Amino acid sequence: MLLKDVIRAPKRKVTEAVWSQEKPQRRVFPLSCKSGGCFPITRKWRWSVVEFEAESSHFRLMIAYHVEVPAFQMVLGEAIKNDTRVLVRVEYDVAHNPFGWHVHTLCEDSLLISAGMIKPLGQRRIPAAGSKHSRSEYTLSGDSMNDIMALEIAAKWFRFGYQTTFRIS
Amino acid sequence: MSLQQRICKAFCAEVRVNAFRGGFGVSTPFADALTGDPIGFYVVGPQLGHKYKIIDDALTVARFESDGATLDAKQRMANFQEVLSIYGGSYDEESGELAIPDVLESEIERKALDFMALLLRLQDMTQQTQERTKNAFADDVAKKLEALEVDGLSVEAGVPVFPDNKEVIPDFVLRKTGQDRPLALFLARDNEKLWQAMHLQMTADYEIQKPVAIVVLLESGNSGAQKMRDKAANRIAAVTNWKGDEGAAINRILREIEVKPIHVH
Repeated sequence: MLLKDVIRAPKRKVTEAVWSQEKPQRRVFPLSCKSGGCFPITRKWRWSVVEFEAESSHFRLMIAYHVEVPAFQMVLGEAIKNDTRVLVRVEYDVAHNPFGWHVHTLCEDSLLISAGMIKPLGQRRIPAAGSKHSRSEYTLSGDSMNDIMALEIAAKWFRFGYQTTFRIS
Repeated sequence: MSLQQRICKAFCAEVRVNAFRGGFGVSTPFADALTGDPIGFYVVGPQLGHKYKIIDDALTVARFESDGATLDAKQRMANFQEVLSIYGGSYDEESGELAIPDVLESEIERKALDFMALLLRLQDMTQQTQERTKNAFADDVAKKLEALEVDGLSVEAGVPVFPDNKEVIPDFVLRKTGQDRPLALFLARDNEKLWQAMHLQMTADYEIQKPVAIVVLLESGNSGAQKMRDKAANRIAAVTNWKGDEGAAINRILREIEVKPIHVH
């Protein structure tokens, strides 16, 4: 399945977004890597994982934003048993040049993507690093990022309806 | 323009400073090998006492730990602490953040350079670990192959299987006296070697038209994508697994050049 098909497909069984600032347990977003399979995130980030079904597959979407600086990441992957095939990473980071919303993707059928952590090798960055980024504002209002805004951004990118629960953690 | 100006210009050409509410993001000319993006950091402040703090995105250590360079290894931890102390950096285990704290406004430029150097040194540490991991697999296989005591068997590394075709070079070529079918062995940790093996098979079948046994030895059962492993299994002589069953893997390879099962040390 291609990324564009996943984005366009109607989403079913979208799970509720629960936000946390603790280190995620492996089962939340299993991602095989050399040190055992945890998604690399720390307590400086607020994160939530939304799961949904599209076409005939199950997907996990990690949404995370830094609590102090304008840095944001979303990682969409296809769930396969105890692992994830990462289809795309969407990012914003004010410490990148040029800065603005961009994606890293392999542009391949998900069946050809290895499960687990993937390196930049073979990944395309869109827009390319040397190109102008059409969307350079972090939040439209200019306010700091928050859970609602983060979820809205994710829902817009990946076209799903959502629910959320906010907990102080 | 003087030489000094030209060098200064070269150093700064790709450094960008982007302001945000509460600080600045700094993008360096150096690429992060794990993410593919530029290495960047933030200058946050001024805080109490008119001081600033230089920080990473709190993922530098998390990323290199997930890539195998965990800090529970004593020597790596010692190296990490040494690099931190050289540049006056600190690491907060709770938050995962690297920082140079308490920076005066007049010190920001100097400390920013130190922080960039710190991030580069840490990246080197990660890459050395990756290289060692990669080599460990190749070294282990090489040792097992070199230790084989089979009459008439030769093992060569880094040579083409057909002298007049150097397009794809397998990791090892095994030949047995009296056999006109050499064996090309690829060690695979990702899709790339699976592609190379299939490409060499097609070249042998349709261009060179000579017999060859092509075998891929996967580091573990989940090296590369399932689809790629399936494709390779249908196109080449064999796809075998190394981790946890090394002796059987070596015997499976040798069977392709008609060597009877042996005890592998």
